[in-house]
Amino acid sequence: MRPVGFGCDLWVWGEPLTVPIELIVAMTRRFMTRWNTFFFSEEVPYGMALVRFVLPLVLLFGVLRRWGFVRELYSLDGSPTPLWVGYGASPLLPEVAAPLAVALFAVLTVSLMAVSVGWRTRLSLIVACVLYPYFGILDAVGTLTKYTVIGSHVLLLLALSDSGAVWSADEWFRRRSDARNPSPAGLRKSPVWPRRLLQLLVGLIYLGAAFTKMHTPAYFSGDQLTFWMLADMNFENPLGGIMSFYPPLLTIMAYVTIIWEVLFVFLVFSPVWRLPALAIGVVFHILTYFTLGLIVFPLLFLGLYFVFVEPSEAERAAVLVKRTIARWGIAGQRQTRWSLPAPSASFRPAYSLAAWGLLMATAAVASVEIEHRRDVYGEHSANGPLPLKTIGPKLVKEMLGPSRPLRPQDMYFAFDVGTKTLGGQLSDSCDTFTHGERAIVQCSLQPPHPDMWVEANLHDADDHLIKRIGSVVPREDLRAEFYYLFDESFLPGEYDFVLRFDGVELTRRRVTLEGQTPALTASR
Amino acid sequence: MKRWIPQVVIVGYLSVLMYGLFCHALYYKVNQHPAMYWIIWDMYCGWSAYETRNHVIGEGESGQYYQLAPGPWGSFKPHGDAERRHYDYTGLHSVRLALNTLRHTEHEPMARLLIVEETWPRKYNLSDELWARRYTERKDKQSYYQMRGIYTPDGRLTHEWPSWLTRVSQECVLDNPRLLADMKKGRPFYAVEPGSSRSRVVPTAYELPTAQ
Repeated sequence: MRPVGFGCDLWVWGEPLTVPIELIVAMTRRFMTRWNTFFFSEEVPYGMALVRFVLPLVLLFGVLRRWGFVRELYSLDGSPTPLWVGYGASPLLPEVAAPLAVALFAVLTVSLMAVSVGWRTRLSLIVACVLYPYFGILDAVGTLTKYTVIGSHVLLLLALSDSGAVWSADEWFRRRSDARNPSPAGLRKSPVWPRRLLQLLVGLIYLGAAFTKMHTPAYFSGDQLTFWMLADMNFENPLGGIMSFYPPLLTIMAYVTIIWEVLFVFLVFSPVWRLPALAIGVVFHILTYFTLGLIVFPLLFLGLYFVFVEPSEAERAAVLVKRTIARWGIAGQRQTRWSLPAPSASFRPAYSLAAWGLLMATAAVASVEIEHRRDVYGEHSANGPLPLKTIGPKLVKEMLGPSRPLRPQDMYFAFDVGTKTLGGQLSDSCDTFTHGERAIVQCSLQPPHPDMWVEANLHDADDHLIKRIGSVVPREDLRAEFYYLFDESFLPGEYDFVLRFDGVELTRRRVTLEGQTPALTASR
Repeated sequence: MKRWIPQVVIVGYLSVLMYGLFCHALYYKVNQHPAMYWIIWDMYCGWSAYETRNHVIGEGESGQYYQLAPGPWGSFKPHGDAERRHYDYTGLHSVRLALNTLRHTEHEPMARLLIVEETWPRKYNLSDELWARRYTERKDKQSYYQMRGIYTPDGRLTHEWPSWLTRVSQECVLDNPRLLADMKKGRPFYAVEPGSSRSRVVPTAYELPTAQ
C-alpha cells in the first residue's frame, strides 16, 4: 500500500524520484490562486471603456469609406469576392439582395457609433460583432484585412466585458435614474478576465507576427522591408522611399522589432517593463504610417493599448482631465448643464431600448432609400445604362502582345560605393577616397534574376578601362561585392565604377581620389 | 454568472489562439479552412521587388476591347490609391468584377473576357527627386504584361497562366540545358489545384518513365 503523503514516481536519469503529493497539491493551489487573481479580480473596467470608445471610431474610418459601395461590394447585385472562394470551401454565409445589404450596413454603422458612446453597449457590440466580420468575409479583395480580423476579435471580447459600465451613455442613464449612487465609489465593478484576454490577444498577435518574420529570411537582410517601403498599395508613405536608401538601418530596425514582438507578451505584465514595451509599440506603429502608409492598422493598435491602462491610472488621468477642464472654465458650464435633476421615471431601460431599435430601423430605411436614389450604376439615368469604356489599340497591343524579356536594368536595384558593411549591406556611401583606402562596390539585385556574370569595372575620367573585376551571382543571391584598393598606382583624379551585365553597361558611380601625385622613383 | 462559464470561455479562447500560433509556426493546415484566416497572424508575409496591377478586359465581337473593372460608374479604392481590382493577387475574383460590369452596362456582345497582369520594378515607384538622388541613369519605367486568364462571356475559365513573377522565376531556373533535357524525359503531371473551388487544372510535376 502506498504510504500517505507520497505521490508520483518519476524517473530522472534512471533514478526513481518520488514527488510528495503535498507539493503537487500546493503547486496546484498556488497556480489556481494566481489564475484566479489574474483573471477574476474585480475592477471598474476603465481600460475596456477606453477601447470601447476608440475602437469603433477607428473601424468607422474603413466602414464609412465603403458606405457608397455596399451594393457593389457586398450584395447579389454587385461583385462580392467571398473569402471561401480562395480556400476552395463551400459557401459559408449568405449573399443577400442589395436593399438588405444596404440596410445591414447602415445598422453596422450606427451600431459602431452606439458602441463608441456606450449606448445599449452590449447589444450594439453583439450586432457589430456579427455584421463587421460578415461584410469582411463577403469582400476578401477590398474589405477583409488583418485589421478586420483583429477588430472582430476585439468586438467579441468587448461584448463579453462590462465595458459600458463606465464613461458611457448607459452609465449616465443609470446614474440619472438612480440618484443614490452619484459618486465614483458607486461605479460597477466586474471581473477582469475580458481585459486579460484582450491583453493576451495583443501579445499573441505580436508573437504570430514574429513567426511570420522568422519564416522570411529576407526580413533579416532588410530586403523585404526595403521593397515593402517602395510599395504603392497603401496610403502615401512619406518616409518609405528615403528609408529604402538605408538598408543597414532597416536591418537594425528589423532585429529590434522582432525581439520586441517576441518579448512583448512576457514584458507587458511586468510593472518595470510595461512602459518600455508599450512605448516601443507606439513608436513602431506610428512609423508604419510614415514608412508603409498604413493608417487603420496603427490607429487600431494604438487604441488597443488602452487595454493596458490600470484602473488607478485611469482614475488619476480622469482627475487630471477634470482639473484641466476646470482650469479653462469649461467645467462650470458642463456641471450646470449635466447636474440638472431629472425625474428617475423618465429613464426606464425599456425607453432606451425602444429608442435604440427605432434609430437602427430609421437608419436602415433611410439608407436603403438614399442608396436607391443614388442609382450607383447609373441605370435609371436619362442616358440609360452607361456604355463601357473602350481601350485604345496601342495599350491593347502592349498588353496582349508577345511577352517582353526582362531588361538587364530591371534586374539590378542598387549600385553603391562605400567603405564599410553592416548586416551584409553597405553602411556608408563614399564618393571621395584617399590613397590606401579600400572601396567596397556593392551591386544589389532584385529577384527573380538568372544566374549572372556581373562586372564592376574601374574607368578613369577619360572612360578608359583601368581594372576589370567580375563575379558570378547565382539566382538565389541578391548581392555582389567588389573590392578596390586605391594604392599608389592610382593617380589622383576622378574615376567611374561601371556596372556591366551581359556586355551592357547598366549604371556607373563617380568617385574622386584625392591626394598628392605619388613621387616617381627614378630607376638607375 | 457561474464561475465555470468564464473559465470555459478563457480556456477555449486561449486554446484557439494557441492553435493558430502552432499552425502558423509549423505550417500546419494553414489553408485548411477560411476560419484559419481568423487565427493566423501573417501580416506582411512574403515580399516582391515588383509592383503588380490587374487589368480586366472584355473583347467585343467587333474586336473592340473594353475596360470591365472598374465599371464606368467609378472606382473604389479600399486601402490607398490603388483600385479594388488590384488587390486580387490570386486572380480568382476578377471575373466576378467583369460580370458585374457587364450586367449593369450597355455593350455589344462579348467574345471573351481577359485578365491581364501588369508588373514593373518597385524602384520606379521612387519620386523623380529621390530617383535623381539614387540613380545616375534616367528613369525609364517599363511595364511587363502577363495574361492570367481567359473566360467565356458568362464567366467560365478556358485558359489560365501563372503570374508574371512565377513565369520569370521558372524561366530563370529552366535556363539550363541539362535540366531541360531531364525534364523532357518525362511528361507533365497535372493535378487539381487544391486552393480553388473551380477545379482548376495546373501542371505540378513531371512524371518520368520507371525504366532507365
